[in-house]
Amino acid sequence: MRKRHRYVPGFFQIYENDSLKGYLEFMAQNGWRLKSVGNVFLHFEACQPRRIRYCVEVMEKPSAYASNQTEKMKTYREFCRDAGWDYAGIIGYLHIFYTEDENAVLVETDPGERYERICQACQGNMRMFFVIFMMLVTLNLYSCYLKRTLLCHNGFIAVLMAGALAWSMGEFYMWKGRAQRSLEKSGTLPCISWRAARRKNYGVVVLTLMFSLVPLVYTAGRASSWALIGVLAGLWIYIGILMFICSRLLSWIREKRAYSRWTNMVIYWGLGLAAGAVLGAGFLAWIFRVL
Amino acid sequence: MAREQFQSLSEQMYYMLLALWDTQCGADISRQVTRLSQGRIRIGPGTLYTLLARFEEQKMIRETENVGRRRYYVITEKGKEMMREEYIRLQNLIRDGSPYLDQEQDSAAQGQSQ
Repeated sequence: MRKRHRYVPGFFQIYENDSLKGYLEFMAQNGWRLKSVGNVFLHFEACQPRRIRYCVEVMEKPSAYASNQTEKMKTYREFCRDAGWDYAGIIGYLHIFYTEDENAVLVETDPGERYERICQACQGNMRMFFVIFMMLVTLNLYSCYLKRTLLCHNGFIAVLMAGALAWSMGEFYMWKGRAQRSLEKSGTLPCISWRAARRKNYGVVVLTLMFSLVPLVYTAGRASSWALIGVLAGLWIYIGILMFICSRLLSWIREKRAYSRWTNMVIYWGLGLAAGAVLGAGFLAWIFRVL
Repeated sequence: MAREQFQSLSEQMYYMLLALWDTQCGADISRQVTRLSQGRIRIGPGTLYTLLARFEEQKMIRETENVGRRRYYVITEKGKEMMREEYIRLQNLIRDGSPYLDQEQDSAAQGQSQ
């Protein structure tokens, strides 16, 4: 019996919005239409194979905290609806529109403007990752300093984090260079095939998960008790639950409320830190019980 | 500020302002632009929305009425003045380039006929 629903992780970078468009159109031609969009997963529903056109766009002044329910956003979507484009949802910074009208004009027809918005969104994202990654690198390097050696698992993690940050930034700046040349030459933005984009991004996720197990494996090799391994495993579960809560929180403030970007930031970080503290207290209580 | 951002108008901006010589609403502007440019220029709804917001901010267009969520716009005197300046600029470009480019076109046409 054929499955009716599929949940697929939306592992596409912001500048791979046209690759995501290609993927969605491929899925529709193979009998899967996009039903809804979450923060991480794309929800597909089985349908008759057909041609559905998609547009995946970044909004003006992109922000991870921008509400989707302001008058401005509603009016934007109405403009698109009048032109034949229905709104599917938002994943990260990417807004997804779809139509079955072959004659509908693309939602955004100014490649220069699209390029500016993608750059703004990527740079905003990168600033946040830079701060988080540098904090983690610094903490690990400090541990190395206390141990008086870089040749330890903290040193390994610091190098990995720095490498991941450099790779992520490098990828974006390479795309930016290609985009500038492509805009000058042909007035279009470069686009890699969705297959190549997905392969690369899935590979990165798998590598990240493998490397995140390094502290666990390292500790398992040296731990004198299973309790310590359990604590580390519990720490990963804590991080996973916290990330899930923050993801749901962000969806709620973006989709159910029409507050300003700054208000959304305050609510998100306030409630997120509170959730982290409550979960953390529960986690610590569990640790003391185990140990 | 307006002059910096709209120092020279892109084709989409130019045709949009031309379309707004008469009062129009969103979807009509898009169709009018396609008609005026003889199918050459097509403006997407997202680009249309963004440019309308910018033009309104710079007082190059103004809203005349709001029926439900359908907003009607028309070009202002300031917008017309910028269009005239752009039109003169384009005419100057053609006038200055004609001695060279017309000659090249004539040579190419003669080459083809031979």
